[in-house]
Amino acid sequence: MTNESNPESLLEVTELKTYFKSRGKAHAPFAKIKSGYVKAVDNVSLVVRRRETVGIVGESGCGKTTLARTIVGLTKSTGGSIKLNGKELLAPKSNQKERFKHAQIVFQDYESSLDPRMKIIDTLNEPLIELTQLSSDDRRRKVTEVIQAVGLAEDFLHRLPKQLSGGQKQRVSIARALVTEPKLVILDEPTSALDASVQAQILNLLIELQERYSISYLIITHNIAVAEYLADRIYVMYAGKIVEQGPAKSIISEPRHPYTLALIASAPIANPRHKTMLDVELRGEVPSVVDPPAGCRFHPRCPYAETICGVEEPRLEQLAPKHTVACHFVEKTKR
Amino acid sequence: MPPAKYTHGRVLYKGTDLVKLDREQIRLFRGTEIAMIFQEPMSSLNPTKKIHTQIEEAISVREERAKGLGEPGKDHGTDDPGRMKEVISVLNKVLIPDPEEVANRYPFELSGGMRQRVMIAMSLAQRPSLLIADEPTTALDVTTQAQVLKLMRNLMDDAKTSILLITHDLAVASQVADTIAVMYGGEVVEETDVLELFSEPLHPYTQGLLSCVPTAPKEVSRLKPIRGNVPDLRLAIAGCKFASRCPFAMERCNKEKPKLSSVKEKHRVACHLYDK
Repeated sequence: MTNESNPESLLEVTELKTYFKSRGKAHAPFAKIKSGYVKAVDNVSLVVRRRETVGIVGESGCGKTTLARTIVGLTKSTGGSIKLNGKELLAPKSNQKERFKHAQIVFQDYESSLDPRMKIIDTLNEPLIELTQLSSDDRRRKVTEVIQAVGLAEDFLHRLPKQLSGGQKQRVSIARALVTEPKLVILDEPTSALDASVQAQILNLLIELQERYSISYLIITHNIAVAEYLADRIYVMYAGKIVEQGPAKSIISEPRHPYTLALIASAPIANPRHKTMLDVELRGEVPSVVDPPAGCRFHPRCPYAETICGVEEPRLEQLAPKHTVACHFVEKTKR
Repeated sequence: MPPAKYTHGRVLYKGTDLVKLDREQIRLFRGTEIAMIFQEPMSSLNPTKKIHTQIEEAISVREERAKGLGEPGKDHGTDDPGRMKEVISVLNKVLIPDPEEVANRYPFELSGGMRQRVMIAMSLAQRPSLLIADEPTTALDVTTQAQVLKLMRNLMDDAKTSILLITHDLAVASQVADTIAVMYGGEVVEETDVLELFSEPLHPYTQGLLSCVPTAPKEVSRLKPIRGNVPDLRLAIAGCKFASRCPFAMERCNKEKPKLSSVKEKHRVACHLYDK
């Protein structure tokens, strides 16, 4: 890794927008979906520093997976800027191979992210062939190194995905992401399909790998406990927008956006003495991003909402040196 | 052998052994005595019928059984205004907004959280004494999960219905349950009060499971995964099924199967470590 001591950010996303055209009636004739744009990611800005782990938390439909896919180039952005290592990725002539080499992703569904007909060795070799100039001997060495780094024996290289358990497949997916020595690895719900003890193994493996390869993680999860365990900083997303951002500790213990408050309280804690989960007073569900509420997108569900919330969209404002919140009435959530 | 066959044991429900009943007899227990909700509400609802029709069906089953008429005929769920009123009232109880409108929708027009609420409304309409909820919120988001579990708990408290919640999520269990039974390899290995289970887990599997659940940042406490994998249930294991993964396994554990027995008041565990 270069510039290990460089304090500047590795990934800088500025006012990123990813809109999809909603086909309205043709898509779902009976459902009440208006045609227009699905603003899955709407003016999102975020920073990931070198060797940092950043969490993005939010519920399904909030746009967190679209954000991840847009950063690695699997989904086209509508506007904004993504800089990796200081280089603009959305410029017309930007080198996409460099992008894929340095920003990799691990998907939630390991079943569909591995080609069932490809041996593990071929799955791991493919990015090296496509994205690097390594000789076949070097490739072999690299592939052997990563498979061992993710805790699997070398003979796994000659197996097919169907011969592996869920946890082993996710280890292979992580190896596949690491093989090109990326600087940034995006983890999209990396453990939500795994059971508790396998999840714990994978989370610990991710920590080891980060120390070994000096990588930055952007972890996308709906699981607050996982975000708390891994992340240094957390961004909270709601209906395509970032509503709060700060050090993981502050977000978990002193959340200030009413949505974060509800989200943290709803997340079950494995402690029967703290039954926060059943005290949550939250109405309704996550709104559609086709026709999101005007003003603050959370206002129809918010217990603190006043007239202005339905009219004017709150901006992200600094609350503490490293803690920003987008809420008109942030003083109401002070404890 | 059929896909699943009952071999021995009893299932006592209000004093009746359910496994001794034939298909027709046990039918009368379903819904009005023991109701069940599943993980995936979409596949438990009929996609071709409106919500009100499906809840009316549940109500008519309850009414016919109360009259002692056995099972209702095919024409249940007709436009009985009394039943429609009850449909709206149960939908109201599960906090569905605009119940009149929702009653006229099809399941595909509802979100996952709404569908699960409809399932709860349907079981509520049958007024069961026991509700079996199999991973009822696993497919839902956390805020919706909190709403649904809170609702389930409050409604069942009001109706004095017992809940058997099946979940893989220890955190959910800790928030909702009074008593927890931990299963491993097809058997209950520990059973006790929720507070005791979390403060003083006895079975090494329970201890392992608890140390797998993240509760603090990595710098504060590192997770300790259980080594190995769940055993293949097709293999005959003579001793304790957890022995191969257990950090405290003794020679005896591989030979002799531990029995679930009380080690103290209201705390049962199946482990040789606690043999007297």
